[in-house]
Amino acid sequence: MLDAVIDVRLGRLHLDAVTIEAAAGTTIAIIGPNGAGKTTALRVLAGLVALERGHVNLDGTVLDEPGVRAWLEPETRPIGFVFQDLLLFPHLSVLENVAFGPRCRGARRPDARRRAAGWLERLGIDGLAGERPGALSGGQAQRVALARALATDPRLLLLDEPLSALDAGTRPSVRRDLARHLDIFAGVAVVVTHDPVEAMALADHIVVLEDGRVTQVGDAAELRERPRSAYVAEFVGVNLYRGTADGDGLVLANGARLIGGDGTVHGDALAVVHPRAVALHRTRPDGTPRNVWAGTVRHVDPEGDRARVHVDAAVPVTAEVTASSLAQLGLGEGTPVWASVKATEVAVFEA
Amino acid sequence: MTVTATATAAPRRREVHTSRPPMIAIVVAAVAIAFFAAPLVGLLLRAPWGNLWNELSAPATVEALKLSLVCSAAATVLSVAFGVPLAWVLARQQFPGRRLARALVALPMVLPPVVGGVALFLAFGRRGFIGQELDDWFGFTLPYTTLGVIVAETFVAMPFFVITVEAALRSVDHRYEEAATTLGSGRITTFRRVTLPLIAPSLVAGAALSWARALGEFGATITFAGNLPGKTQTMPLAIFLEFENGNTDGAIALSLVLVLISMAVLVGLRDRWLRA
Repeated sequence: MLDAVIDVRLGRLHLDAVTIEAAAGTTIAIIGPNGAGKTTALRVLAGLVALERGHVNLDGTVLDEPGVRAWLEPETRPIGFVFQDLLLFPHLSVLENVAFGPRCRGARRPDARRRAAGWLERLGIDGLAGERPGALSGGQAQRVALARALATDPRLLLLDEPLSALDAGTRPSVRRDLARHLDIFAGVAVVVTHDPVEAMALADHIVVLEDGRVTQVGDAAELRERPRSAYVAEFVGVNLYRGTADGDGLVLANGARLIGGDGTVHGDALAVVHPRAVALHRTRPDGTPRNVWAGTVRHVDPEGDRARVHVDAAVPVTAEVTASSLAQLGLGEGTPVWASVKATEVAVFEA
Repeated sequence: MTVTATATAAPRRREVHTSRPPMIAIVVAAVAIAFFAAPLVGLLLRAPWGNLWNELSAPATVEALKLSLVCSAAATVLSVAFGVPLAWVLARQQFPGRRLARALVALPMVLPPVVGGVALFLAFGRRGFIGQELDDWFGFTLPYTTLGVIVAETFVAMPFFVITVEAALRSVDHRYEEAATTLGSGRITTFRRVTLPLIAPSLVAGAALSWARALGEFGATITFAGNLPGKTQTMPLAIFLEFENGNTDGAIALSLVLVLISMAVLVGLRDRWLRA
């Protein structure tokens, strides 16, 4: 159980009572624009930056609480950290990199090596034990970094943009692996990312951080339905679907179909549709959109001169329309409505 | 392959155009190179090749060589032992007077060695403000002893090590040290297992430079430790004495040994430190 209230100033950045709470076995994503303080929040949890006010508690142990002068040195915290640039030690082999943590925490050399070898095997990279980090591909290095962080049996796993160093081709498979390991990880995991697909694929809850403040906390559905800021509405509160991709698009669990994507993805996949790409009509549209669903309006959230309309349909969807077209269409709760999306507005990713 | 070829072709053509120096520069550069080569050539031309072994196996020569190796090795060990912590403090710690400390450390590099010798004498000599205490308390004196040679050599050589290692410590990516910390490594362990290996090339280069400097030390040594055969007379001192006494052959033979050692250091370092 992680319970943190982070208050710290670093230069122009002020993390203002950023609250992060998570139960053991869950994964939290911290998402936000560049410079919002995501990485600094992780560094506070790790003890690389000290709090000015607030507290960090993990499983009932105080890691940092300036109010009562409590402070646990970073090297004594039960944490694992996967850095954005991985930072594998270039002068050590893969096995020695992974054995480094257990060694520092008191394991004898043979024990540390055995444990490291076990982790390499679990991550499917035992063949790389003798390699130097410089010889690894991006995906391999990422797995080594994860093995190194997990090898100390941390109760808090911190991941800073864990997939950003990978090229687009290897990202999906590493993301899938990472999701699997986070699922079975017994402690609390905190992932920093600026990619909503990554956040939704990896995390149970999402904390949105903007300019040093938490602007919203919730799961993907909550962020989509009630985005509390322009950033969330634009980048996080998108329609996200999970299903199976075939050449034409995505088939959802209920059998409904979403047509789109470039046809290169097959198998487990995610599809993203921006709410602004969803058009609403009172009668069946006759144009060319490939995706047309009949449904009813569940809820309308006005937001300035725009509104978010949540539609229950075979493919539940949130649309963002202008206030004037909302009035023109006469939409309210329970109104029957047609939703349409062009196939070109549907992005399909490997899950 | 084609892509690489076309990508490099254009800049290379431009390079050829701008990198061809004017004739005058080539001539001046050639003169400068000749200036460096001439003394070496002179040494080789005048070397008493037939008599070389006799000159080098003379007991006095062997003694000077041994003394040089022992003293320069000891000075290097001292430079490393004190230099690593010193470089670390200069590179990583903020404290008042840090700029002054850095200037002090670099001073022996620009100070005429003979001035260094005089200054050492005034501090550590029998009447010096520290030497007097050493004499009173422990009954030993540094000037005119082998230990004095080591102190003089360390004084002029250690700055080379400290400056090299300090620069390396500044440029090392400290995030590796943070990564070690999150893995449970304390500061000493991090320094030993992460920082030092990362700067290993600079440690080797710095040690080699300071060793070469110690080996060639003349001014501070002769001023502070004198010129006592078997005790303080190192190779450079022996060479000077032979030369002064008109035994040019002996001076050349000894010089060739130092040239050989210097060359070996250069070759050993060429990949680590002299890479342009």
